[in-house]
Amino acid sequence: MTQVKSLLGTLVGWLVSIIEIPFNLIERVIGGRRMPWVFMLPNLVIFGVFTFLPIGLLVFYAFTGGTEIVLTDRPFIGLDNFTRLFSCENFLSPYSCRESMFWIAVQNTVWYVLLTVSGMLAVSLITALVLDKITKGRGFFRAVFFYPVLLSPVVVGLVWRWFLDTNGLLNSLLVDIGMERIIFMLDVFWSRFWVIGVSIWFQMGFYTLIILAGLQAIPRDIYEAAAIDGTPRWRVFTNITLPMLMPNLVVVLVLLMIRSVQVFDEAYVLTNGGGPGTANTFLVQYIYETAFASDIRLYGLASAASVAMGVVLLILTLIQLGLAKKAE
Amino acid sequence: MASLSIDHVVKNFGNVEVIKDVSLKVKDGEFVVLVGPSGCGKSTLLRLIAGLEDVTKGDIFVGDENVTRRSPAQRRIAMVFQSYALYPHMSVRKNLAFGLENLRMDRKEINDRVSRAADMLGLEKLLDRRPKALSGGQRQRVAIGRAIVREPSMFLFDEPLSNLDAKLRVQTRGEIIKLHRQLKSTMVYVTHDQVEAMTMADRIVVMHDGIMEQVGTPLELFDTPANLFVAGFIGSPKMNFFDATVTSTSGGTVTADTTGLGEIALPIPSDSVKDGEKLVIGVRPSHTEVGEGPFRLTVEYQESLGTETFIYGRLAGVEELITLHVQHHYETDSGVELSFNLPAERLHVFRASDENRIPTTTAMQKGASQ
Ligand SMILES: Nc1ncnc2c1ncn2[C@@H]1O[C@H](COP(=O)(O)OP(=O)(O)O)[C@@H](O)[C@H]1O
Ligand SMILES: [Mg+2]
Repeated sequence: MTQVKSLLGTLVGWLVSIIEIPFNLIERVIGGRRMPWVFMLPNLVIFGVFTFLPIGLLVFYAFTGGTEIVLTDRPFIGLDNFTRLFSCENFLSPYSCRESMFWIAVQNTVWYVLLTVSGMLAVSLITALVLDKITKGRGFFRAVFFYPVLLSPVVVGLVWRWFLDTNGLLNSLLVDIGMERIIFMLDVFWSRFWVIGVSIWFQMGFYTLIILAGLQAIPRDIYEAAAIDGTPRWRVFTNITLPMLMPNLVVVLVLLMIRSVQVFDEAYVLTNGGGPGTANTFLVQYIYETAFASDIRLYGLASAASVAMGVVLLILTLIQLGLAKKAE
Repeated sequence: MASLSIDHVVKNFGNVEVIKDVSLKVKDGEFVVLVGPSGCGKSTLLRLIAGLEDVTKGDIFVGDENVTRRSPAQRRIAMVFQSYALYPHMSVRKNLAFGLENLRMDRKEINDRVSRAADMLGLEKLLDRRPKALSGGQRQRVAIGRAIVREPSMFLFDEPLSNLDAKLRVQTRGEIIKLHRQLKSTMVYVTHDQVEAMTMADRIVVMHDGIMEQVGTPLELFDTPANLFVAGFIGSPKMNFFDATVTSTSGGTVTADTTGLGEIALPIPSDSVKDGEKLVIGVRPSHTEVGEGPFRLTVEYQESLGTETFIYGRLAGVEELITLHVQHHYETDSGVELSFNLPAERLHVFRASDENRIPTTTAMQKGASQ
């Protein structure tokens, strides 16, 4: 036993010295103060290759034209892609624009974001408030609400499509209680309703969890002080709970907005490609189709749309963080 | 202003009885301190009075009104929490005004009250700050201010000084006493610190394991502790205890064979004990007389406080360290044998069976407490 141990010790010692030698060398060459960079290198490389490099490439593509995928084969065309995207007679009417699909997608996305963000905030806030109050089964319900978050978006889209199908479970229920069959996915209102509803169902557990954590971090004695102060319930909510929850709500708002602007997979599957017509065609779908799913692959135009979307997201996020800091 | 009456109150958490049939009357304008070791139910009792917890059994009266089923606000009681529980996102001004706004009081009255309280507590310059930007002592005063502005019928304090450093604690103690004199309000104050209790209270309630061991003025508790627990809890350093067995009750005097002290006479009526009964004898360090006397202590160490000295040492056959007290500076060393005396009228006698005090014959002690 002791022999094995001492052997192990020697082996570990060797390993350490093998690693130590090159690091000592590096340190001698570049100096101790720069050593942190050496340790960060692996992560920096991964981020560089899979995040920063693609962002850089994307910007390059946005300023080039043609249908070639190889960057060196693409001519530089300056702001032409952006001009094309933004040439509109009236920004509120997509068909007056040169890229009307882009503006339809923008309009759909804006509505989707507004409704999903407000709906999700309301639903997850209320759910969290209820979960915070109940003492029995909190863990169980938290798990139930969180479970859909673990599913793949495509699975979510497929399951709900099956559920909402003309011959699906919901329609057979409607027929059973004597109502008309509704072809949900061919109806503009219903398809949009379900796209938003499914998004909320899919992600609410995640946001509920963040808000619940915030609620539970509010010290109990602050509520007791408010009770002694004779604060009415509604005033406790607006003047104590909400302000103290603000940091968590801002996190939720920022994440929620970024993720709703990026809506794609579950909606695409659920609506079978953004239908009916273009009722559920969103920005990312436009970008995807422009770049990869149309006969003429306009990588430059798609990249320009991506860059525009990124800039808008960045600005919105900065505004929200600014507001949050001010609220502090 | 109001009196408080707690009538056979019981509180259970699940099936644990935390408050066991407590009854207490607090007079209008009285300063009562609940003291006891941590976990004995002081905070729970205070929260029952405030209405933050529901009683399991019993009634609570404020003035003549039964408030047992009333909400905290309806009881018109103010409470200062150990953690202060200030609203962290509101300015000091808003913290003070918040409870008044709930009453839909008019703005001018609110501003008046806030500035009067701020003036009284020296908070004028801090009114626009957030609690985060205040020191512990300042937060404490804001918490007290929040209680004052409501002009409540009664103030409850739950260990309000335990988060302050020693110096600030003594200072704030004085300020709270001053406040009580100014406002003449009924105050119930919880602490685990018997020094705080002794210095602040009109009356002290000693609690232990959910029951009240004794209620009385600081001097009553000091001079005539009702049982071993109170005797050991009140007074610092702690009272010295010796096991004893009654050897004789004849001739009007009781003598007992006492571990470490030998045969001594006890100041109790001879008909209060039987031959052979087990007793516990207690004597406070401050009542010992060092220098001459029949008893011998082997010194272990001493604490010199400049004006007074505590000497810790051993008696033959006694396991615990014994503490003696000298009113001035006193030089001694470990291993030295000291002679000391215990004045018979200063001895406290407790029955070992139920740990209760046996009243002494000397009228002197009762006289001293009044
Ligand atoms: N909400 C509660 N649920 C269960 N047990 C509690 C609760 N509050 C207090 N207790 C228990 O009641 C006892 C008394 O607590 P407390 O009144 O806080 O003591 P103190 O203030 O004297 O230190 C403790 O044993 C504590 O664990
Ligand atoms: Mg307590």
